[in-house]
Amino acid sequence: MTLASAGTVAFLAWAALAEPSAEPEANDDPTVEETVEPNAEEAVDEAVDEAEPPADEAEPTVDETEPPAGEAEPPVDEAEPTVEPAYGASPAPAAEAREADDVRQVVVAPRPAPARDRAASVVSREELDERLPRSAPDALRGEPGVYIQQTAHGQASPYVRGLTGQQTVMFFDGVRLNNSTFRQGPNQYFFTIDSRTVDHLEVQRGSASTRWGSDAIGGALVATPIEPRLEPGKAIVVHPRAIMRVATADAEVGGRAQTIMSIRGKLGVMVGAGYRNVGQLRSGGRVIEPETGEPQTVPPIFGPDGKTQLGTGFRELTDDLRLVWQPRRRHRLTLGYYDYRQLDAPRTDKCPPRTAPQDECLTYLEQFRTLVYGAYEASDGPAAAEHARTTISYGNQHELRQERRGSPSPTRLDGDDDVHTLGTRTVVSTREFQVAPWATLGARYGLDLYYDRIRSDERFLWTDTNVSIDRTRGQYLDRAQYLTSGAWAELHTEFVDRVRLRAGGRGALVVARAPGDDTTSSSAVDRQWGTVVGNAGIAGDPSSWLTLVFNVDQGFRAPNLDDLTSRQAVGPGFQYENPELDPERSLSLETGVLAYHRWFELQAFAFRTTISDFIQRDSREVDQCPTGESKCSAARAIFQLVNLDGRSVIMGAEGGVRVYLPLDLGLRATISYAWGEGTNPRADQPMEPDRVPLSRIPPLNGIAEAGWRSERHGLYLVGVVRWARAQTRLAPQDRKDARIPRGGTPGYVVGDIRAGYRLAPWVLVALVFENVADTAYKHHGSSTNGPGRGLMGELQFGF
Amino acid sequence: MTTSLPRLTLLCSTTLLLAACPGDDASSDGTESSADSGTGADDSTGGECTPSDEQIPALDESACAPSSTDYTPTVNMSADDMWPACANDDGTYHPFEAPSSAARTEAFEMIRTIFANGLTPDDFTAAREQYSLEQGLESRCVRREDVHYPNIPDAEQDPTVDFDKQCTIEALVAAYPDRCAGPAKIAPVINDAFAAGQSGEGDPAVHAARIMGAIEWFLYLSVIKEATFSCPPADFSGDCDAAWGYYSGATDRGSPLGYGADVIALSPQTNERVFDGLAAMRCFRDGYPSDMDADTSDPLYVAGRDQLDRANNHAAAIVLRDRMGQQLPLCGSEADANWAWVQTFGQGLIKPAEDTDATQAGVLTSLLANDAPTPEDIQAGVTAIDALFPCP
Repeated sequence: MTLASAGTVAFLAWAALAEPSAEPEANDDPTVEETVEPNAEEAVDEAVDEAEPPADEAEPTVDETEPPAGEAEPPVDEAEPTVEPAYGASPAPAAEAREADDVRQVVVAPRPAPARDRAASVVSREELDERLPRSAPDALRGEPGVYIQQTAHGQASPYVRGLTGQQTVMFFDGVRLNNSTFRQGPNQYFFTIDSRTVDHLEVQRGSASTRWGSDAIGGALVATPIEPRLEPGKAIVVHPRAIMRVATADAEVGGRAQTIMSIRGKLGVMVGAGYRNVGQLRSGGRVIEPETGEPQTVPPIFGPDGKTQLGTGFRELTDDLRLVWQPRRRHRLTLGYYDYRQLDAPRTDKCPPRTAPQDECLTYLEQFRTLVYGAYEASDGPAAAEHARTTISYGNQHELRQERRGSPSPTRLDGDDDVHTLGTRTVVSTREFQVAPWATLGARYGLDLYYDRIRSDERFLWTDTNVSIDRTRGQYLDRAQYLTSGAWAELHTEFVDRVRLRAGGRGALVVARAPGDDTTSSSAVDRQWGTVVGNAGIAGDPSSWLTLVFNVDQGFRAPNLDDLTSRQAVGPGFQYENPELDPERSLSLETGVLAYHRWFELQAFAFRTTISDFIQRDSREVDQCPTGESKCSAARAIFQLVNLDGRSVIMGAEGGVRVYLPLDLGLRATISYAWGEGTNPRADQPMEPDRVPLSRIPPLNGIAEAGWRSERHGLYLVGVVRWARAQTRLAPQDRKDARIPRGGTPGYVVGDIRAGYRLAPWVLVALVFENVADTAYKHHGSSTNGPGRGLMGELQFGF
Repeated sequence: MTTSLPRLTLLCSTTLLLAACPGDDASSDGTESSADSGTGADDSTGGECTPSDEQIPALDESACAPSSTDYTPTVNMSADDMWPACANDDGTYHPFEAPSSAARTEAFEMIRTIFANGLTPDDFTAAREQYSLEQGLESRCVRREDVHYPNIPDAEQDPTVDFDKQCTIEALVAAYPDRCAGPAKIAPVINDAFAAGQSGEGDPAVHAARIMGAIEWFLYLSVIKEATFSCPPADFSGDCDAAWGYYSGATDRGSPLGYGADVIALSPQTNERVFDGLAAMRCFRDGYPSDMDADTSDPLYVAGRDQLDRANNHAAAIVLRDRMGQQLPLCGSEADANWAWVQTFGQGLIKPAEDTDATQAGVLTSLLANDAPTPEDIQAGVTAIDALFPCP
């Protein structure tokens, strides 16, 4: 394509966009209305195709994300341009054309569409830029059905429908991030996704193991990275961008530099690096314990001002490289390298532990995640495999922990764990078959396999003599191996453009192997489990903007190496392994309504998840500790994971609404509620009830926003209220957990103000005045209290 | 006094580095046969030292009887005392749950065994690992309070830290080293001795003795500290049993480990009285619902604590006087090691002694400060101990 023809294309596209949009389109979708009219998109597509075959390099990038479960896979070349991406990232074609015109435009991006036929929500790049989250989990705060727990300022774990950690599954660009060392309860691993490299985050709520495999009991967290833009017709185009960020509550200073290049419209490159130095987090003060009416003592430990939390702060270094090559029409090769390095992150509830000297601390000196993968995608296959994407990945999760004893001890305990994961995953979509004038039929299917190998060791070091001694085993059994795999298929059909049905199933095979250790009475593990799960759903559209949904999904989670082999200090005490665990299985029923009207969006769901063989902690006596494991017998509270008898139940409701008002005004609110109960593992003891609350179920919570977002001026101003009621329904282990105040976690109401200015693509200034009233608050189950009053600011500039 | 063979073996092995083990039951005739308790061999210091053939007086507890407020489950199953019916009335200790403190006593025994088998730098490293285990001895040494000393004034306490964990604050440790005995006194002794032992500096027997004396000092303090602080609160009412774990390793009345093993080897009667005191505190706690804080003004709390404190102090005293007696025939490294143990462990009794009789306490304090005591000094010290802590 010559520059002239490119300019023509761009002009046509811009002209198409320039059509007044005052009249709402028939689909009544305000997100489309805000951005790109469908007709305009088509005009651009046509213009590009006409102008330059093989011009579909300019077509919307093939959707790299998993289409939401239950959603019919659109043919690739009909895929909606999902997001106005970060600047320099792959845009919708119309937007490309618009930018090519080099006319100042205020770009308001459409939010990526969440799943149509099940409970899900999406946080777009634009929302990330506005919210200025401190991490990927933080970006999900306030999403329906999601609650964020923080064991440390550098660690956060999203609860989805009352479950977290190993009972939710995480994916990054189609690569499974869960590995076999994910522990029971909250973990820090979603934090290791650099939110600045993310184009959008999607939360799929409810069990979904057919699509996502093991661990998808509470839901799936799916991160989609920024995609480099291909600019056909230009030899080399470079888009550098610099991002600088500061925050006062934790003295954060950081930034990111990235460059996106398009080479001859066929090769896209994005390279970036980021750094942050995050200081100690200042809160609004201590929270009041519901039981005593007194301020909670520890954790966290506060500084002399009574607000600065001492066991917080960290440093973070990220670097990434993404290559996208389109060798020919409808084929794409992606190579990704994402490296996350967190340094010197104290675990707040262990800095110090509740009863230890004030300078005792467990610090994650190194929390690294490296992901390298290649993905090949084709969209011109035969009808039975019209679209396919295969990913081969290698991941390394590295942790170096240091437990430094308090004065006057010179003792250090260093733990070093590495998980090496090789994986592959293929997802295939068929063509949409017109089986009758009033019915279509399609299918998706795939297979996946991930293999982990563990290296784990631990040693004592005495700093006064510099003598060290290796321990006989680490947190995990060294050289343990784990394989999780499966094959799945889903059929979907649509009748009279109104009713959609889906059904599918997965067969899974999981294998765990670990050598034993006689010294510490660690049993060898040689287990394998095969299982089958399924799902089904129906969705109906009474009107063009309203969808009613009913879904049944099964989930499962095979015990992983953490369950089967690990010995570790956990929040409420010491936990040792149970090599005899069986998989836990769930059944999730949900019904809801989805509305996408020109004036509002609404989603409201009620759910009930039953879990059989639920794996939870049960208290143990000293004489039940493994022989030779002194860490266990000396612990104040001892736990072992067990499969609970009977069924555990989590039920609740969640919803969200956006209202689009005149004059660029808008409202948004979400609300989430969950209630969980399970068999009491100590029900056979005197005075013990048969059933008890499940641990760390989030309280009723939500957010409310009112804002003005001007497309014309690029300005926005938003007021936000975040709130939660007290959570006083505590599991027995919660009562021993120092992180949870006596009697439960008090409720809170916190107000924020967001403001910013966007002059796309050159400048973005975003400010968040957080916790305006300097409220003391804590998210249930967290070690840290929430940030106090402070200002966060981010400046982006580039072209 | 009788001593079972396993107990004797334990005692022998653990004191091997300090003094050679007696060839038979050293106490079977009821006397503290210090002169017979060692071989008398002195290979390490040449002719400077002349072993004494003196003996300290035999321990005499014949005049001792329980106080009127004591809990006495072994006497008519507590039917004759002021204490209400309790699960422990059968003479057995019935814990709320098995205490984790027992693991620390087991670690103490493990260290004793390691040192009994060798005193190389590697042995010190192996012993230090036992000391440093997670939630182990070190973790508690560094915050242990000596409740015989006055509490840290309320005005100076950090309100953000639990009242019984104030010695986790470095500034308070520096300001109140007597109260914060663990971090201020005990842990530094242990750390220095381990460091020297691992580095191969000095006399390893002396280092090992200091370590053992300091840990036993810690165990002794822990018995009364846990009974004082951990029995009343509801939060962790199971911690009331920690005192039992520190004293005996949470074993039966007749077969204690650790500090309790040293006590029963010298005086089964004292062991019984300590056990009664431990059982009393458990009975006091059992008088309240597990989810309710107990009242520290409850007469049973006062009586039980006093009973346990008296018995525990006497128990520590007889262990100390025995080691003093062992000093008389020793020379050279053995003598140095044994006296290092005495000087270390004995510090724990200074405050109870001062609270009882300042004059006698002065004698004891002077003796403990004396690096080269004469047999007369030792005899005077033993006399003072007997006067200060006559009965359990």
